[in-house]
Amino acid sequence: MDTNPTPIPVPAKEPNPIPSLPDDLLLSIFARLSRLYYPTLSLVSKSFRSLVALPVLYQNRSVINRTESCLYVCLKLPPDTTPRWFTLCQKPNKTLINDIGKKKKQKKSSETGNILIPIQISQSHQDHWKSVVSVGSSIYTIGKEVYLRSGVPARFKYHYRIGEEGYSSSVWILDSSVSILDCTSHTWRDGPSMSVRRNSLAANVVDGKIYVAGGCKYGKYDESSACMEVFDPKTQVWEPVLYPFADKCIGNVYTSGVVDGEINMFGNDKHVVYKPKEDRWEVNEAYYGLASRSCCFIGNILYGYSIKEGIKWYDFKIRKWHILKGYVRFPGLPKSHGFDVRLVDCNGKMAVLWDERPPPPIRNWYDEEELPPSQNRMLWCGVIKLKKFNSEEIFGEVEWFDPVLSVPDSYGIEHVISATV
Amino acid sequence: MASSSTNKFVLKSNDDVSFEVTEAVAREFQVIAHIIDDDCAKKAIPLSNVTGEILSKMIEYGKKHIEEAPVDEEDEEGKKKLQIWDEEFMKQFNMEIVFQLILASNYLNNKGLLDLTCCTVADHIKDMTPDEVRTLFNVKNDYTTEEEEEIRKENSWAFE
Repeated sequence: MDTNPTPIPVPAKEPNPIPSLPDDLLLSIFARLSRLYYPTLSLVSKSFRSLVALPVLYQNRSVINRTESCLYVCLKLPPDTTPRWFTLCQKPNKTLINDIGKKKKQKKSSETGNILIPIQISQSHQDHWKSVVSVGSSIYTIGKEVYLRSGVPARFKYHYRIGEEGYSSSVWILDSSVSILDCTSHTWRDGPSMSVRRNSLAANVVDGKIYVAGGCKYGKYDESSACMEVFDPKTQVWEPVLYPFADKCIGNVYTSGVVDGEINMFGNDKHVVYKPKEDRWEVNEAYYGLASRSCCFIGNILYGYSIKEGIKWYDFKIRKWHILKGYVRFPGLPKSHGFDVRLVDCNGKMAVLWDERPPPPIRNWYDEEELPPSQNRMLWCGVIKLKKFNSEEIFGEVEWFDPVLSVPDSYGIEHVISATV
Repeated sequence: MASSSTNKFVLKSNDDVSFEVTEAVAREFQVIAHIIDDDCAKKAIPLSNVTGEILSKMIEYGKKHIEEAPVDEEDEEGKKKLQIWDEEFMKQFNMEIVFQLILASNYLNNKGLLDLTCCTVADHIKDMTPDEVRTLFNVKNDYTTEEEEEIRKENSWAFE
């Protein structure tokens, strides 16, 4: 016999035998539901809708440990010049069952109905940002790209980038501003700006505080106090972190991450470590071969992706990459250049985002029509559970993967990050 | 502490059903613990918001959680056993009783039972349609057709 717990029967005899619950108890129930059911609840009635939008609901979720990790993705979608933010949602079960019922296809059996949903966003925050970090349910975007109209002042001359698609010969710099996305309400607000402008900044979170470093080497910002600064979301204040090596400025950082509470910054010519607990710095020999847009730190370990080997992780002790074992390669995970793969920490699991171009339409030799210039790509997302067996072996197990969004061929991934709501 | 196992208190429901319980079980309910501490628990403690049927179930829950309390934070096996008992315990109730248990455990302030009952409802409504949720919570749809359409559009991904 079926040993699964049987559902509780709904009383059907009397018309309305159930007592009404006050709002605080309704909130206690809603807090124990996954956020993906909130759209359904908001359709129930006006009062339900306002309950589901209350900040106290999200406080409840965090008090009773019912928060969930949500993936946020910022995409460039030409011809739009401003990037758009999306969040990963899972369709509620019911609709998924209907879907499967309708379409016979279930070839990729792990498909779980995850899709990227655009989040409503005010015009003023549709900017390009250099760096993003998340603290709890807030995503901090740091260092906005600003267009310089009239020439390039001398002190900015190392900060520009030129010839970006669509902005030919225009000059962009990074300013010091900070914007904050509240992932519970999907609203933006401006945060306090950093004390200096930085190009190539490394932002990391330790104990709920945001440490921003690097990229202030040039111009007038080469003081040791400007190399790193720390933002405390509780007090909303930036404070300088003194960097003692004036002659070895952090400079440009291509990869950074937190290992055992220590911030590791990898630059072209050195590896800089800051230990917030002890307020101590270390400057080491540079590591080579770590530069990759795909790189990410998860649970003190640096992961990366290569076309040849797939997902791999780096052993800092012996300065060597190891292949992630056990995971079934996602179908369509790029094996050639020209495709994008991003890895991101999603509450200790690895979320992987990649794109796939559908095979070109079959053409006969006598077809004269030109192929359409661009096709759409499919953006895929998958989640891998990671298990470290010993110092040399980490195993990955695929939890799910889904096609999450159709994007234009010339799209770009600006940021991928997870927040806790 | 020895007295708490020998001391007995009588809890009286709003339909005049009395239950004799040990002090430890009585103290599972914060509100009753306060009454005991304030030394107001001379005779029977009247509970004006709880019926005998609900009270008997709450006492059953309280007793179990006293008797089978995990040894300490590390006692994973003990926690698991109690969790399985909790699940079985909730299976016997329909939603009407579960709602009454929510109200009563909120009133008598038993965090564990409140959590358990709220989880049960959350689990129950997970895959319901808005209409089914309305029926369960006895809520009227106060949207106009246009408003409803608007909200559906906002979250069209969830309803496709």
